[in-house]
Amino acid sequence: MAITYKKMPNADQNDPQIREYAEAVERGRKSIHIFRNGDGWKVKRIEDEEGKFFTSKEDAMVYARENIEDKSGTIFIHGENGLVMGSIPEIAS
Amino acid sequence: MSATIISADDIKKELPGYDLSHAEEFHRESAKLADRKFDACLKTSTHQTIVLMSGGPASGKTEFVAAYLKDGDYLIFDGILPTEAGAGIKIDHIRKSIGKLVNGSAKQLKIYAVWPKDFKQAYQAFISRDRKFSDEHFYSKHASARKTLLWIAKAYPDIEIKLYTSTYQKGILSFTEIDFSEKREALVFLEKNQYSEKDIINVISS
Repeated sequence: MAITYKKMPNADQNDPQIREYAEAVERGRKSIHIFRNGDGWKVKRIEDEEGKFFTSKEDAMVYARENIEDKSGTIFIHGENGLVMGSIPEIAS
Repeated sequence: MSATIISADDIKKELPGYDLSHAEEFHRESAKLADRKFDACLKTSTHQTIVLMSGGPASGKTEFVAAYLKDGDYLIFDGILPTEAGAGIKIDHIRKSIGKLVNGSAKQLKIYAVWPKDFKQAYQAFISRDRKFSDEHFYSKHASARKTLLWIAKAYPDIEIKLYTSTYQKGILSFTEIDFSEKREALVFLEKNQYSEKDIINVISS
């Protein structure tokens, strides 16, 4: 028994569909997420191994605003269940 | 010959009042219309191979189709296959229709599943792309697409399932085929790679 991993031929990165996907991932990388973490809040980009911890949501928001990459990303706030409750500017801080 | 591609996401764009920021509200209607369009195509299509795509949102299915299938002799349903009931109905319907010969040879049905190598990559694309869905949609559909794929592999052992992973690294989207030497091996792999919604939420938030 064996599983073989076969790399597919290179996809055309200029295909509009593929470009759109790449742009969406890049936008996503700029975004900052605020997650519930025990009694506090964790601020991180999705790819980060570790986040920054805060006891208050307000402090987490301030940190997220200060660290949003070139001010073009979105800040997502997640609820107790992990789902997004809202995003800035849609959610009032 | 170019492929015929049926996609609920494409159909949404034609619905009156559709706007990208409320894409989720149009999903039920567009999915229904996609099913109808696919059924109509099944009756008239001369494509030799029928492909059902499978995989959660932003896993790279549509991009896979654009890269490797769009110029082939395929009738493609570009969807998630989120439920066993829906997949079963679709498969049975296709199997009835492909009993008929096309140019003297039988048509075939294949399932092409695309999984993101990393859920975080898919989540970043999902949450930042122009058409907006709640992230609950992301978690539930990734979990259910994998569950349905496993069910298809067990319930329809004669149907060819091809599994690919998508990876986005250094600005390049690429795909890798996971090739199994035996069906049993594929089943074990699919079993081992089942995730609940909660599991995926934990991956994203960790």
